[in-house]
Order: sequence, then C-alpha cells, then structure tokens
Amino acid sequence: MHDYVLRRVLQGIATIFVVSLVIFLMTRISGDPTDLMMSPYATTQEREVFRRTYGLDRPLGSQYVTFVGNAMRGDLGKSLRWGDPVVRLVWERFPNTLELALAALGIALVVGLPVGAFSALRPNGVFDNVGKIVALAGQSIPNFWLGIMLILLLAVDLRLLPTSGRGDGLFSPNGWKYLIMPALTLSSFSMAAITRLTRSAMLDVLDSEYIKMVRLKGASTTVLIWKHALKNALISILTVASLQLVILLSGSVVIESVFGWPGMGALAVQAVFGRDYAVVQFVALLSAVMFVTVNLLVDILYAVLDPRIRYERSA
Amino acid sequence: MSADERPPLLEVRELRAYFFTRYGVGKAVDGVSFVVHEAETLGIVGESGSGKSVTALSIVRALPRPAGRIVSGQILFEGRDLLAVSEAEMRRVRGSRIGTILQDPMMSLDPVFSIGNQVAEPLRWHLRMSGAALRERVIQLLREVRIAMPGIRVTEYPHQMSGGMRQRIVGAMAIACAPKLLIADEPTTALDVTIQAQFLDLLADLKISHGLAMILITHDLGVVARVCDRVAVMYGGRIVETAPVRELLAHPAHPYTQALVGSVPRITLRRDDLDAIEGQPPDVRRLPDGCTFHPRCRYVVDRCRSEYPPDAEVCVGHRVKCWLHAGTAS
Amino acid sequence: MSVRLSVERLPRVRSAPESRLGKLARAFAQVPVIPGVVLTIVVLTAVFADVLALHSPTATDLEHTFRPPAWTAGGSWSHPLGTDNLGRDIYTRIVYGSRLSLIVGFIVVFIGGSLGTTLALVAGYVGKWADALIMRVTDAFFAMPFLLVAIVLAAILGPSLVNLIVVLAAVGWTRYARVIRSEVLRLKEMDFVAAAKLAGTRTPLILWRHIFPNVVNTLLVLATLELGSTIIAAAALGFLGLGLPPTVPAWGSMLAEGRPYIASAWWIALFPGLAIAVTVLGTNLLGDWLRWRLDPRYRQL
Repeated sequence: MHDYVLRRVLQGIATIFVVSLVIFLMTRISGDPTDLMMSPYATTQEREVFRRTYGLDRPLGSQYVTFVGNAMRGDLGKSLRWGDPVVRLVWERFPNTLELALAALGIALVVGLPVGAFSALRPNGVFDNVGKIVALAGQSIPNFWLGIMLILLLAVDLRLLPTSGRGDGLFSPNGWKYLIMPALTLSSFSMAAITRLTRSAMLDVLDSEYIKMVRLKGASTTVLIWKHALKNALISILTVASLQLVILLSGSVVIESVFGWPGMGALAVQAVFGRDYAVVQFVALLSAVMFVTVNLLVDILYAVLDPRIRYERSA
Repeated sequence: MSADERPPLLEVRELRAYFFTRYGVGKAVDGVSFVVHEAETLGIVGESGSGKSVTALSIVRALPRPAGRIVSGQILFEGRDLLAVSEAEMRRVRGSRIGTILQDPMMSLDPVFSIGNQVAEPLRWHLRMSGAALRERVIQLLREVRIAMPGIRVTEYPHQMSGGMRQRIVGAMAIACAPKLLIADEPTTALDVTIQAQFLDLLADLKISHGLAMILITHDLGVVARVCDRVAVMYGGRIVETAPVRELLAHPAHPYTQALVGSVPRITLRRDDLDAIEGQPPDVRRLPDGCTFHPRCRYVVDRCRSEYPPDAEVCVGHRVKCWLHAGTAS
Repeated sequence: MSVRLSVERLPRVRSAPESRLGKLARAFAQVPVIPGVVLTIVVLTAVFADVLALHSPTATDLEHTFRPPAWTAGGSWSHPLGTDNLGRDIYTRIVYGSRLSLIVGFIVVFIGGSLGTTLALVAGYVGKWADALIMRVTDAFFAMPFLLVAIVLAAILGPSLVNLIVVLAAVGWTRYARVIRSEVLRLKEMDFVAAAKLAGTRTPLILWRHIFPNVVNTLLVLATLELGSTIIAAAALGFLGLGLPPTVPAWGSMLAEGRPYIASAWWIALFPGLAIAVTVLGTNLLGDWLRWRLDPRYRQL
C-alpha cells in the first residue's frame, strides 16, 4: 500500500513537471513571445528592453529552468495588464469559481444520484428513460448555448433572474439568484456523467452474488437497495464526483464568460485576448495541479471507504 | 415409515423455469418433480447446466431477472404453494423458513458491512431482535458454526477471513432464524479439499442439531455419499433418476448415473468427477430430441432419438427415466 | 506444392478480413433509426450545401437585417430561419456550417485517433521507459484544462482552418491513448501474441497484424464519441471568436454573433445551437450503440 501511494505521488510529480514544460513551451511555439505579449506598435527598442527584462534573450533551456525555479517559489510572473503578481490575481478570483463549481456539482448530484439509482432498479422504466434523456442531452447540448437559451427564457422573457454577474455576493439578499443560471448550465455535463455512472455502478452491484445473498436472507427491497447496493455503488460514485469537481473548476472557462461570472475562467479568457500569458499559464498550471492532486486524494479516499483496502493498508 | 405418511415438507411438482435471452429460450428446468421430507437430506447432482442450481433458486423465487422466469409448476412448502404467494409473503419465507448457502463464499458476503451486521440482519428482519439479545444471539450463532473468538469476529469484515470461515458465516446467516429447510448450492465447490470435509461435517451436525431438512446441490458424488439420504440425478433440465443414496450408488439404473458412479474414486473427494464422461453437457437452448442424453449414451437405440422415456420404478423408491427400464414398470 | 499452399492460405487470408468486414456491414445495416437519420441528413447537407443554400453564406444585405423566421410575424420564406445583424441568411449559413463542422470533426478525429492509437500501441506494448514517458505526457495533457489549452493555442496560432484542426488534434488525442493503452496491456498477455513472438514476428508487425485489429472496435467507438465532443469544442472556440476567421459561417461563431441580440432577435443564436445539439446527439447515440454492439463486455445476455 505504501509503495503504491509513493509510486502514485512520484507519477503525479512527474506529470506536473511535464505540464509545466508544455505550458512553458505553449507560449514559445510561434517563436519569440515578445510578438505575442507586446503591442504590435511597440518600437524595436521597447522590444529589446522587454526581452532583457524577461530573460527572453537567453537560451530556451535556461529560460525553462528559471521558470520552474520561480514557480516553485510561488512566483509565476506579473500580469502585463494589471501589473500584479498573477498568483494573487488568480487567487482573488478562485473562491468565486469554487462557489460556482460546488453549486454545479450539488445540482448534478441531486439530480444524477436518484435518477441513476432508480434507472438501475427498473431498466426501461420511467426513471431510466428520464435518465437516458438527461444523460444524452447533457452530453450533446453545448453548455454555452444552453446558457444563452436560459438567459433568453429566464432572464429576458420571464424576468426571473439577472442575466450576468455575481451581484453583491452569494450571501447578499438577492445574491443566490445570480448563481442559479450559471450553476445550472455548468452542471449539465456533470449531471449526465453522474447519472450514467450511478446507473452502471448500481447495475453492477445489483448483479453481484452478495446482493443475491441479501435477497435470500429475506431483505425488503428498501434495505436491499438503499443499504447494501447504494453503499457499495457509492464508492465509485464518490470517486467520479470528486473528479467532476475539478473538471467543473477548470471547465467553467466559457460559462463564466457567458454569464460574466467574475471567476478565474473568465479572467483567463480575458487574459488570452489581452496577451497576458502569465495569467493563463498560472490558471492552466493550477488546474492541472488540482486535477493531479484530487486524483491522488481520490485513491486515498477510496482506500478509506473500502474496508478491503483499509485492511491491507493497516497490515 | 412415518415420513411417508405425513405430507412432505417440500413438494415440487412439474416445475418449469426458462431463460428468455436474445439467443433463444433456454429450458433450464423442464418438468421437475420431487419431494423433501422433514429432516431429510436430498442431494441433487448433475453437471453444470443440468438445471440443478436453477431448481434450487426457483424454490426461493430468486432466479436472475429479467431473463429467468418460472413458467409453470407448483412448489408446495409447509402446505402452501410458494409460486402463488405475494412477494412480501415470500420475503418472510426467505431467510426465515428456508435458509440458503451459495457456491462462492468469497462473493456472497457484502464487502462493506461487518460480519456481525450481516449475520444480525435476518434476526432483525424476521424475529425483530435488537440490542444485547441480538448481539448475544449473533455470537452464539458464530460459535455454533465453529468460528473462534466470535466476540472479536463480529466487528471484522469479510475480506479479513478465509474462504472456509466465510462459508461458515454464510451458514450462520442461513440457520439464524431456525429454518425448516436449508438449500445449499454447491457449498463446498469453491473450498479447499480439507476445508470441504470440515464444512460437510458442520452441515451434517447442523442438520441433526436443528432437525433441518436440506437440499444439497452438487456435482460431486463423494459429497452426496457423505451427507445425503436420497439423491436425484439431473440431466438437461430433468431428473433422470432418483433413489436412496446406497441404492443409487450400488445399483445405478440410468446409463448417465452409471457413468457417474463408475467415475467416482473410492475414498478421495475429487472435484471434477463428472468430467470423466465423454461428450459435452447439452445446451439447454438446443436440447436434442427424444431422450436428451442419447447423443452421449452407450446403449442408445432408435427410440431414444425420437421419444422421451417415461418414468419407471426399478424398485421401491428408485425411479428412472430410460428406455432400458421402461418395460420394468407396469 | 502450390495447391497445398493455396489450400492452407486462402481460407485464412480470406476469412479473417471478410468476417470483420461482414460484421461491420451487418452492424451498420442495423443502425438505430434516430442517429442513422440525423447523421445521414447532416452528411448530405454538408455534401450538397451548394445546392441546398438559398443565398450566399457570406454576402451581407443591410436592408434585410434581423428578419425573423418565416413562420413568425414579419418573416418570409425567402429567409426560412430569418437573417442576422448583417442581413445574412441564417438557414444558408447553417447549411454551410455543417460542412465546416464535419470537415473539422472528421480530420481532427482522424489525426487525434492516429496519434493517440500509435502512442498507445507503443506505450502498451513496448512498456518500460517508453510507457512511462508517453503516459506522463498523456497524463499531463489530460490534467490540463482541455478548453483553456485549446483557447491559448488558437489565440497564439491565429484564426485559420488548418490551425483550428491542429489545435483540436493537439488536445484531442489523450483519450485514445489512455483507453487503447489499457486494451493493449491486456492483449499483449494473450496466447496469440506470445505465439507470434515465439514465431519470431517482429514487433511492428505484431502491433499491426495482431494487436491493432483487436483494438479497432474500441477505436471506432471512441472516435464516434470524440466526433461529437470535437464539434462542440470547435463551436466553443468559435463562440469565443477564436479558431476560424470571423466571416466564415461556422456554427460557434454564429452563436457568438447572435448573443448580443438575444433579447430582440433570439433566432440568430437559437438555430446554430440546435444544429450543434442535434448533430452531436446523433454521433453520441451512434457511439453508444456501437459500444453496446462492439464491446464484448456489453454483449452478455
């Protein structure tokens, strides 16, 4: 067990290094990043100064070493546009994105879990058909379009909800209204994923010998499903739910732009158009680090939840 | 004997259980009738696919749905037809009046609940036990199936135990509510040879101490010889021969049984005894015409290929379905 | 001698590909109605866009801006789905947009699938350092937010069809690599591979002749599902104003153009989105069905 964890941690670190390399090289693919980052109207002299300040006149390898060295000390450069360190800039927006992602995950779970579980109980029943439609729609409808259509329906036509922004925050009197549409829109894909996964996990469990045994002991359907089947299925469902959270955190890029949500995704898109690549680099790096970390934590969580693995670890 | 005068504990009449799949209908059990008297042990032997497990699961109405369905027949248990009662009623029979042990002990315990919790379940559901009395009874049951240190074991999980221990725990769950009938579906197949013998001894002891009737499904005639009073031999979804154990082993009448008995080694308990017969067990989706055994039979005659043989009594309590013995009836 | 050779060889050479092709042909004959019809319509629209179009997809007509769809008040059948802010016919632009979506989708899936499969074959079969290296790169791409990377790359490379394809293929190969690698790991332990190895078959030939044919089904399922997500990703880039030049009639950029007018001219944003949703629904249904059909794990009972 310890060897396994150690190996996974080392793999994760290796992955992060590759990510940093890819992110570093991304802004170098078209050659000199000076052209990317500076205004096309800058003079030759200004360009020279820029190159020297950012070390762009040095060889690529040594630039990368500097990049990694600085990154490890928490320095990922300054925003060209705001002049602030990108780390501070992104961390200021991060809670907003987290709020949105958590709300979206909540919606996805509230719909996906029961629909998926009931689907598995009666294949081809009402819930199964609803579940199939939810899953298909979530995977087929582009969420940014869904967002626009929700704005049309709920904000423009029915005037129930504000079209964009975050208002005065979640806990202000009308704050929650701002969260509904973006969270609903963002949740569509996760809702589909969780519905599908819950269904297949429940089907697998219901097919097992131990469930047959529970039935043979005279269990009622309620105990069979909500005690034995769900607890067994929940392990794989939780695994997926936590990975979905990370995907939602980094996947809110377009949705934040649609709804003008002041999160890190909208910041990144603004930065791309403002040629503010230091900001984008950090958002990408942060997302990747979160993804790798949560992946790792999920494995450990799995071990805690599943007594088979828990035992092996203590032994 | 008095057992013959009283109504039997279980009487299965003309049971048919089919599997409906995309590839056709599998007649897994096709017209099976037998009785089990109180405190009697009936062995059902046959190769895999002969319908013996489906027969057992049909009694407690636990066929895998939606493919498996009981098409017709009667299952009279303690005076009522289990195929006619409601699902709620059936639930009160399962685990309470009829206990079940399945083949693979590694798979038949829920991995995420403790042993104590799982053994306690039937007691809570059927006998409404709780608290200290429940805990006391669980520990007593574990002691009865010879689990050492039961007080500690109750808090442990299935993966912490060996296959033999798990199967004994399944046994404890099965007898928890003092059932009248125990169905054991290949209970020793997945166990090591030495553990097999131990578990069979345990079953034999439980049978006596609890006055249990038992249906023991197996493909191992050695197991049958050790534990059973009577045997039914299944082939292609039907019972082809039934007799008291000694009679069957000494004078097997059906060519299939003869082949089985001929392949039993004297002392040791071996696993793949039945594989010694040439040919493949039949596919229940495409059963041969006439006697289903005829493609593998040494004594096959023309009639075997077209007509299924009638039931004939060779001697008292020894019945067989084979054209070789059709004349001895009357 | 020659007779014996032909007897030994013919059945093998013939039967293997025939059965696979035959299986595929039979499979496609049974494609369920909805995805079959949807995808046929989309493909035919893309092929015959010039015939189906009513107007030029790019010509602006400032006298007929914001015309509503034909069946609503003020609409006319010369613009069945209405016109946009520049008076361009939305129906015509959607028709041409299907061509762009499919071209981008198919090429990206082909490049991404080839790249991912090749890497998976090498990683899974060769193992050791090759596996470690390839899988860390795959993990890295998998860990980075797919859309953000695509956005950055598209912004840096600038808008063009080739660049859009390059960008989407560069981020779209990881799923093939991960899924197919695990298949390869399973396959390489099998007897027929061991037999080929013992017979002295060289590694590239084993990969091509013995491993690859056995991952084709998985590849096909993945590619079908990826086609849909590629179309959505291309639309997302277009929606942000990246990927293709702004004049080109792409579904994603049409959505973006309609967005500012959502309160007054809802049809500009509605119809291109519907086109995306319906097309992707078709590919997803086909992919699910293929998986059910081709994946042995779904074939029990």
